[in-house]
Amino acid sequence: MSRSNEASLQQLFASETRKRLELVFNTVEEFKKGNSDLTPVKTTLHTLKGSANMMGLEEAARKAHEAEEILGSPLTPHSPEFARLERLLGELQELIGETVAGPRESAPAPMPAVESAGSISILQRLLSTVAKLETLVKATAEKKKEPVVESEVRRLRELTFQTVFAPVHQLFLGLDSVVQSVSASHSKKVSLHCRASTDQILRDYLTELRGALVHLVSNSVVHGIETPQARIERGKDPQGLLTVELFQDERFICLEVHDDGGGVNLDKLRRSYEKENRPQSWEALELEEKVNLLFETGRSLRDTADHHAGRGVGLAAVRESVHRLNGRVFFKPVDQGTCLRIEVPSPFFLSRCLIARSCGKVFGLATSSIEKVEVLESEEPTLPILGLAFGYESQEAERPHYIVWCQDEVSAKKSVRKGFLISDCQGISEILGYALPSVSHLSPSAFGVASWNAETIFLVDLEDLRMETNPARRVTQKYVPRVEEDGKRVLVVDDSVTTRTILLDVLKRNGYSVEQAVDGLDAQAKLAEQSFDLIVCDLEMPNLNGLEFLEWLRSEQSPYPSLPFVLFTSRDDYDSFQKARLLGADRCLGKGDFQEAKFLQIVSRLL
Amino acid sequence: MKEIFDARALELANRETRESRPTSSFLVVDMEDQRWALPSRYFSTVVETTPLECPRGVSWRGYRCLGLLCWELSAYPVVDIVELIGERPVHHSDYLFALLRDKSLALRLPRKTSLAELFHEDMSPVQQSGAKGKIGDILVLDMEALR
Repeated sequence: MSRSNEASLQQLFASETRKRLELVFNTVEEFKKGNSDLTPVKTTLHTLKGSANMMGLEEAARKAHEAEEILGSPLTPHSPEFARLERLLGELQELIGETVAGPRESAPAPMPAVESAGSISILQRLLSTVAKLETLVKATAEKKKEPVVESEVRRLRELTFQTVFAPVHQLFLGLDSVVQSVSASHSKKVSLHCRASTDQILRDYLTELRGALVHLVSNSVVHGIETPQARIERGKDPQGLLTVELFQDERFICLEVHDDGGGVNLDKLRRSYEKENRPQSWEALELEEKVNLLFETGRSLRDTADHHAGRGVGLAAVRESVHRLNGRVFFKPVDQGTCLRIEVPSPFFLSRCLIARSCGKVFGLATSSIEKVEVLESEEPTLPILGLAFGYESQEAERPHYIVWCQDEVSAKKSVRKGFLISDCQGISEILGYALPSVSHLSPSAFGVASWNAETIFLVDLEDLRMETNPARRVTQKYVPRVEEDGKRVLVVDDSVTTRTILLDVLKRNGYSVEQAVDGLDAQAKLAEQSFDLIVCDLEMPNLNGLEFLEWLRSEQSPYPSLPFVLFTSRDDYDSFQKARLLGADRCLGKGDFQEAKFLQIVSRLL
Repeated sequence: MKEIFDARALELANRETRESRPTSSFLVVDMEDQRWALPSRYFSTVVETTPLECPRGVSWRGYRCLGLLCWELSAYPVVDIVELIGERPVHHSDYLFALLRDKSLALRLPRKTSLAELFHEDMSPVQQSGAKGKIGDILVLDMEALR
């Protein structure tokens, strides 16, 4: 690890540890007063232990482990075990304190700790000030050029970003050591692959997600990936594969940890559940409910606990961390192994963009989608103008001066290069993007908006932008404006005439305007002619079934990628619902338990 | 971007203690031949700005989305008030944008918009698209249509 990475890691660990120890000691004090139980202490210590392991602080990790063991039994504020716990916590604080605050003359000054709950509001205030300054600068510049002020405002913006964001590689720092250490102690071979599609991550999220990540990778190694011998017997590579991926999915930051191991052992989980004599039988639980039992405190599929796993704290701690960020964590269905997905809402993100002008509009083009920019030396009649391809219908005669070439795998195979003409190119910049609100019929290449030089601009991923010369015309043809309609328009897609008739009757009686389609293909044709506000669609249908239709609807080819979609099927099994949700269904309903009032409530909420 | 009525102004205007009879605060919009009142409690702020224009065909819940507006790290779709009241669009040279508290929408209003206290108890029923009722000669916008 490089010196700078090591220093970043130290700073990160210091900031994380301070926060976690503060929580531990506050909870212990509240416990003494009879105001709290010690559950948060247990999960926090577990997370701290993971972080200490990542830092190679074995002694601190051991003490956290001992403290965790004490917390495994019921405690009272005056019991000797509680006194031992307090002593251990003191020693732990001292040990960690020495490490994070030890004399390090060569190390850079630690970054001031940013209060978790406050950093977003600090950023809001700072950015609001920056935006006002930019407006002032722009107004002044029209009268008298002041380059010094401009550069100072730019600097202020950069510093604001640095205060709130951290480089995303910090999320993965030290993770490899944890995987190697856990796999060595369980006689396993595991290779770890980390990737991220964003450059920066909110510092608030970094601390929580790193803690969660340590638990998840440890869990995957201990519970998911088999020993080399077992893997060979199953025809697998003796070395297990663990993949960690961070990416932005609309308004969420998603973190996925996927292993190619044996998956969740449902038999063991059932036995563990049945021992508890809960009122609901195992059989009555949905598959989703069953696997999510693993997030309960104290639930473990291991017969014995060791230094890394077995007390059922890890996943509970992950869930707590994720809840603190108002997010969710769940098992994602995969063909092989186990995949855990964390989703946390992301109000904004940083993106490195090329600032380009086309059709009188400024765009931020994600640099990750750009291969190169060339000066236009001759006419390139086959290439579309960026603004027109995005959907604008500009009549402005702007002469294109540059070509932005992008890497497109599909086109590359066909030896067709993908490029767009732009009239101006204003350099590359790190831009703060905001998530797009829910609007329909916007080009799927738009992944956010941003304020740039006192102007609001679209952020565009060229890989998702079609090369049609004027898709705006296509969109306009398909868009039918609402003209004094009484009801919202619903398209019911079902091959059963009975179902269509029932839904048509229910919806019409309640003021909705309804059209019918007999399968996915018919629905595509209806969408080409009219606009709708909602689709209610069956699963099993001839020609193009519900899932295939949904996949098309949410794809690049669809003019309505965000149209609300309700899957309405008699195959109300967990797998079908999960698949539909992953493809982008807003709601999944079983025909078996159809209730008119509930159905109408769902329709009304989606419209 | 300039804030015209900030959250504080909207809140203060909403106090119901100034008159002997209970009043509520409204944004009163002068349209061509009608006046419309929008309950101010639904809005967090009113700003003057130039939104990012959307390509034609982009819509928000079926209404034409004129553009997007960024305010305090959130992006709002912009819909003109005439879309909600079913009137023919009339071009104004200047607009204000009222931002809904739930951050779902920015409503474009003509510049002739003011804050006013109205006796909400005087609201009478009216048969008019987009209207919940009428206070005097002012139509009250049915905000439920936006939920």
